[in-house]
Parts: sequence; C-alpha cells; structure tokens
Amino acid sequence: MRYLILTVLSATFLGCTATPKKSDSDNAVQKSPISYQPYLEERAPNLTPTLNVPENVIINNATIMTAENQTLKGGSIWMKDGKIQKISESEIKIEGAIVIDAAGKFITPGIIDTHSHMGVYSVPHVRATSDGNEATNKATPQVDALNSIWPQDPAFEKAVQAGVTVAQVLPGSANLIGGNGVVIEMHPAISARAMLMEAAPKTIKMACGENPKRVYGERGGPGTRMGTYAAFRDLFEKATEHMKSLEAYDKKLDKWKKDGEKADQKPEEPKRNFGQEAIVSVLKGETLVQIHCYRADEMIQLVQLSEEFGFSIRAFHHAIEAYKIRDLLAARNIGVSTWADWWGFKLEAHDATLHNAAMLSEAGVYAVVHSDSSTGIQHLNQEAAKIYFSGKKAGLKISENDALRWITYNAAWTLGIEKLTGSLKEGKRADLVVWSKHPFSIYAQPDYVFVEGVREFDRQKPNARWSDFETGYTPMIKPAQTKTKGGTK
Amino acid sequence: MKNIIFCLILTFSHPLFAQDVFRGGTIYTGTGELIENGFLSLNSKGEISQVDTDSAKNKTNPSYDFRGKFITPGFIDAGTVLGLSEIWAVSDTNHGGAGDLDRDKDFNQSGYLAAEGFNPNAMAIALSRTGGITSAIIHPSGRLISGQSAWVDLESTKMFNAKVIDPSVAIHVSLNSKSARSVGGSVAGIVLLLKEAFDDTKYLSQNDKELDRTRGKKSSLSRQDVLALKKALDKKIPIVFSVSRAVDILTAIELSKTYGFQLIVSGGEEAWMVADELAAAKVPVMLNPYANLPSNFDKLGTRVDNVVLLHNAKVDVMLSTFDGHNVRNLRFAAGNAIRAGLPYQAALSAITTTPAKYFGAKNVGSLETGKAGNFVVWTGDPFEPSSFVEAMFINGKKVSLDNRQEALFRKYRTFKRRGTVPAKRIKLQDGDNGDK
Repeated sequence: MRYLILTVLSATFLGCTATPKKSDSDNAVQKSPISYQPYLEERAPNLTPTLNVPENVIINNATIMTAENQTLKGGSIWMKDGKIQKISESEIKIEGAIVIDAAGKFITPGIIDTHSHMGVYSVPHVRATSDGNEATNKATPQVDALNSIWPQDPAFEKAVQAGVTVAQVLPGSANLIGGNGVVIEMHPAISARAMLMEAAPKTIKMACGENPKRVYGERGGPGTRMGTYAAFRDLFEKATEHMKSLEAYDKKLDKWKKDGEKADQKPEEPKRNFGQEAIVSVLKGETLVQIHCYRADEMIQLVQLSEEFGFSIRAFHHAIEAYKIRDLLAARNIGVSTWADWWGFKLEAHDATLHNAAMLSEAGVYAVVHSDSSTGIQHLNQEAAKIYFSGKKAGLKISENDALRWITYNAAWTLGIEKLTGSLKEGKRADLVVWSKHPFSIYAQPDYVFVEGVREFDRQKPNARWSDFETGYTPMIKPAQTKTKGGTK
Repeated sequence: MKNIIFCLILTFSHPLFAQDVFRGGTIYTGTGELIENGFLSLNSKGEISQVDTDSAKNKTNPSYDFRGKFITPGFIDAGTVLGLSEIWAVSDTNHGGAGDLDRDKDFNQSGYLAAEGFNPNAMAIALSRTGGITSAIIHPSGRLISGQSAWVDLESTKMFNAKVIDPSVAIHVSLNSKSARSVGGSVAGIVLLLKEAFDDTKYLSQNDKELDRTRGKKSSLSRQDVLALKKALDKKIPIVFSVSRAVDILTAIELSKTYGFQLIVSGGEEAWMVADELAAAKVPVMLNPYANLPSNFDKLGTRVDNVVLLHNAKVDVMLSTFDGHNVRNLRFAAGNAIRAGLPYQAALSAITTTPAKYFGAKNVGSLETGKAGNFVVWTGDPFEPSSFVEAMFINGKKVSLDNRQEALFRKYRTFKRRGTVPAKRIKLQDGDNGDK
C-alpha cells in the first residue's frame, strides 16, 4: 500500500484551531504517473516472519482515552484478529473472548515514537553497536536503517514495556541525507525486516545545522550553513534530472509499445542508481521527509528548498525553535517532533522553551513528543504531561486529548499511518496500553501492552527476555516487593 | 483590609521575615513527618522559628495561606554540573574540569575546585528553581581524581542567581571502564594510581618538609592535591566514587576501609548486588532512578528497582539527575523512584535530608526549628507534572521563578510585526508558463 501525500494549502490562522487539520482524506492511494518505478521497489522479502498471534480479548471497566476527543468512563474494548472490534461505554460480552478486568485503569492508544535510534545505536553503547551514521559521505540516500538495526537491542524490551507499540528508527544526523528510516512494530523478531510495519510508507532522514557542519567541515564540506544549503540544492537538482530521465524513458517505452514493440527498437533501460531513486521517491511524494533541524531560520530555508524542488516536508524533528514559525508550519501542514525539555547541548538548542509543542499544537501544527533516546522513549507519557500541564498553566488553549495525540495520533500522522493506528477506533489496529493510573501521572505504568492484538507485555506474567544479549547473563533476583503507592496520602 | 495586605505580600517579592507565617496546608518536614493543617514561621534571620500543626494558639494572621497546598524542604541535587557549562558544544562555555590543563599530575586533579569554574548566572540556574531546587552540589569531571565539588544555593544576590556556600564538600573519583580508558589503563590500573595517591598523601601530610619539596617538583601529587586529599583522609569531606560494577563497588569499599575515608557511591547501577556490603560499611548511594538499560559493560546488571532494593537493605540513597541543564527534573526522578517502589517519604529524603547529611550541610534539608528557611510551596504533589512551584524561599528570602525560557515564551506568545504567511509556491510543470 502506498500513499501519495498531498499537502493542504489552505492557510490556517494562528491560534484559531486547537487541533491539526484533518488530513485523512489527503492520504489518497494514487499511482505515480511514471510506470517505471524502480524507486518504489518493496524492501527485501521477509525471510523469517514472526508468529504473532493476536488475542481475542475484552478489557472491561477502564477509562478509555481514545485520542479521538473522547473519554469513556467504565468503558469496554474488544480486540480480535489484531483489530479493535468494538469500543463501548457498557460491558461487552462475547463468547470465547478472554476477559480482563481493568477497574481503575486507563486505556490509551499505543505510544508511537517518531524518532528513535533503537537497534542502530544499541546498548551497550560501544563501537561495535554504533551503526546509526554512515558518516562517509554528506549524502547517503542509498542506505536504509533497516540494514543497521540489531533486533537484539535490549532497549526494545524496555520500550514496549513502557507502552510503545510502534517506532520510527532513523539514521543519525551527521549527513544532509542520512538514509531511509524504518517504521517498526514492537514485536520481538530475529531480523529487523520481520519488525517492519509493512503498510507504512517509506521515510527518509535529512539534517541541517551544526551536525553536518561539524562532521563534514574537515572532510570536504559542507562546513557552513550556506554550504549545506548549496549542497542540498545540488542533490535535489541531480535527483530532478534523474527523475526526468526516468520520465523520458517512460515516454519512449510507451511509444515503443504503441509502435508494435519491435525488438530492435526497444529503448534502453536506465541504469539503476539507488541513491538517486531514493530522492526521486521524495520528489514524487512517496517517501515522507523527516528533517533534523533546530533553528527557525534554517527550517524556513528548508521549506524554501522544498518549494523550489516541489517536495513536501512531513515533519521537522527536534525543532527547538519551531514555536517561532508555528504560523508557517501550520499553513504548510508540516509536523514537528520535539522533546519536552532538552536544551543546552548546542547553540542551536539554546532557545528552547517548555511550551514549544503546546504552542505548536495550539496553532494547529501536528505536534509530536519524540524521544531520540532509549531512556526517553520509556516515559513519553510523562514528557507529554510536563508540556501539557505547563502549557495549561501558561494559558495555552490545549486539551488533554491534544496532549495524548502528541504521543499517539500525531505521531502516526507523521509516519503516514494514522489511518491504521494512533487512536482507538473500531477497525483500527489493536495497538493499546492499559495503564495503572492516568497516563499523565508520574506514577502510572503500563500493566498490559497490546501490539496489533498481541499481548507483548503483561506486568503479572512477563514474557521471556526480548534480547538474547540479556538472556541468561544478568544475575537476577525477584523484583523488589514494595507497593507502588503514588500520591501524597 | 486583611485581604489587601495578603495580596500585597503575595505580589511583592519582599525581604520579609519575622512576621512571616505559613498556615493551613500540608508540610513535609523531610524527616519522615507529614503535618496536615501545618504552621510554619520564620525569624528575622530567615530561619525556621516554628514548624508544627496549626492550632488556635497561633494567633498570628496568616501572611501566607497555603491551604490545599504543600510545603517541602527545598530539593537538593547532589550530583550536578549545574553552572559549569552554558552550552555543551560551545567549548568556550565549559569550565567543568581540569581537562588538558598543563599540569604534571595528569590523573590527579584533587586540588581542582569546581567552584572556581562555576557561573552563578548560567541560564540553567533560574530554570532549576522551577523544579523546586534550592541547592545543588556541582562536581568537576574528567581524569581519575577530578577535584572537589561545591555546595551552591540558588539564592539571588545583588548580581547573581546563585552563590557558592562551600567550595569543598567532596573529592570526586572515577572508578570505571570509561575513566580507565581515559588514562590508557584498566580499572586495576586506576586502583594502583589511587593507592599511590592515598599513600603519598598520608606520608606527605605527616611530613611538612617533604610536602614543601613538592612545590615546583615532580611528585605523584602537588601540594594542592595533597591538601585536598588530606581533608578526605581526615574524614572532613567524603570521596564520591563514580562506579557502576558491583565488583568495583566492593573495591571502593575496601579502599575506604584501608585509607579511612567516607565513601559515597555515585551511579551505582549494580549497587543492588552488594546492598548488604554497602549497608554494613555505611556507604550511601547516589543514583538516577531512570537508569534501567545496560548502557555499557559496567552496567549489565542495571535495573529500575535498584533504588528500592538498596532502600530495603537499609542503604541511604540519594537521587540525582546527573545533569547540568535539566536539574529541574529531579522531582520527576523522585516520582519515578516511587513508581519503581520506593516509599514516598524515602524519595523525599533522598533529595533533601540525605544529601544534606552526607555533604556537610547541617542547617538545610529538613524543616525544623533553627534550620535555614529553604523551602518550596507546591500547588500539589511535588512529584506530579500537574503540580508546580508556587513560591520558593531560600534563607527565608523569596526568590524569582522567572527564567529565559519563560521570557522567550512571552516574546513569542503573539507575533508582533509578522505578516500573513504567503500561499505555497506551486511548482510549474513542463509546458506551463503562467501563474497558477
């Protein structure tokens, strides 16, 4: 399944809407006008499929936060065949289904992290596990994070136990074009390919600012921001030429077919160029562009670049200064994935404010709270909560539903999978978390995590260790026997 | 009239005292006590003059009504690099360690004082207050013996946002694979170097002539280093070991017994494995309760309930962000420790009384008569993201909660002089030559 992403052009006035524009209807499945589409090749076949058996299960008595602007008290949800079959305000009874009583608990969609390096920067952090930056050329569009992911990274287990059901694993930010990202489902598997979310469109990582400058400043450039911009223009100009050559071949092929397919006149197939094809895919709107960029003025330049070459930016990542241009981002329907409160590590991260995501959200931008960290990914609910409560206190017009969307629906939109997951809706994937308390409490922890209806975490009955690395290695004693008691009373 | 006075007091950041009385809410004293309907008063020196249950005999008008709110001691992060770097990647702003300082004693920088590199106007300081932080210990980094940490209070002075209360509260040592690599050796090599340094300190500090000869001369220690280490071997200040592996923690305990210093374990990812040994040696552990990944080969035994297992074994624990820019998140670290199973009051002590106890601050950490008026008024449970600092007092003086991040927010809350965003430029297709 492929998505052609069209961008809504209508201007959104700042602050007039609290939720991003609906774009479900914009995700039309449309065939590219070019019939020769090497760049749309499927990834290599999955040679080791994982047996994921979805449960037929009903969870009763919970507070269900759907991320569809709806909270059901004493709600009930039924999952079967990996899909949400029914959500109800009263108890659901289905013969043969397993029943979980979740009195006092909360259900949310599974958390989606748009920016992870799990598997490409695995723990333990040693040279041997450092596979995130192919820092051998300023642009490596031909590489795919899929080929770096170590499926035994112990971080995967911790992430799923924290309620993460889907994550985008990206190459690092050393290169202007770092390569393709991967949208993975949090099922343990023997290969990264078996974790790939088949239905997700391709994504690509780009970067600007201090990182590429630092890495390539003494390796042939670019060593400046102007050099970076010029290099981007060159890259997109070359890819545009490549696209034109593909289109020309396509026309010749059509003509040749019309003229009777004479063997001696068959046009010569263009040479494969995997890097060019990856960028052509961006130009055709088939690959979602995810750009690491901090400063407002640089984001503006990249929007200019995208309009010069006619491609869409799906989301800026980190984007510490995005709040300064939230009007522009809202008008262009460009999402922003950022942290709650990281700052201070470089000059381009100096103008941080805790209210970045909340201001963006208020302005109608698809705001996302991402982790960029195998520790941070384990408390994205807390990160969203920090921004939400601070934003409310500061008088921003944001709702609990908005805040939940920062780590669910909006993240799904950023990855082009919002029709499949990211909210609790009948017919969508059964990706959900059952929390011990309200997910915006510091004391909340997942009791159950379902990934496409498969129970990947159950606090009472922990699975076998995900990672072979941690299997049989660590001395273990029973978990500490202390009641978790949040609150002050 | 009463209301007007009340509003005035709330509005103005006043130098207060004497009559300042807080009535009606819940007080966590930090000593394990919880006082509902509390009463807290300050004397003219900014010290706590009374902390108790409110009663009819307290006739004073409430100058600060905190009904429905909470008062805790100011939080203390014992493991920070606050104010030692404005921006990590801008080397000009980094003053956190001796680095490549041209000294003979390359592994040993005991004489180095973090306090001398502290920037009391670093932007992270004002921000830290929003997390209820009133004090922090700032430690130097790098080499095997990095130098001495300082106690800083986030109190406003005429020109600064913080002040150094004590420039020498502990010596900091790294005993782990990373620091071993930094000197080209193994952890065994570190132990060798440490033993030499401790032996030489003992010898030189008992022998003034020999000590004088270290001036301007090569030796395993310089005069400044000896004087600093001597304080630790005389048990005047503790030595904080940055150490993760259980077996290395045992080594550190052995060293502390042999040379007679108070050991504090920092990091301590595998400390739970040797919890009984730590308890027996009365060694506290300072840790980050978010740590649960085997992030390097020293930390394969990392687990999120480390803090709980240590507490259950009667080891004193301190919680730290180990951060410089986000020390404000210490309260969430405490919340996470509770989530992992640490009792509420233990989490509170871990960021108040315990660091005060081990880093030699006798008059802070808890709310008791005669102690400094360092406390925070919270809108709710201080560990929840839904709660905020409503007011903060250091030495009885109300401090500002404003910071640069809020200033940026205010500046960009509305767009002044910003025109309408133009419509997207449509890329022309081949053959098109007009406007679309």
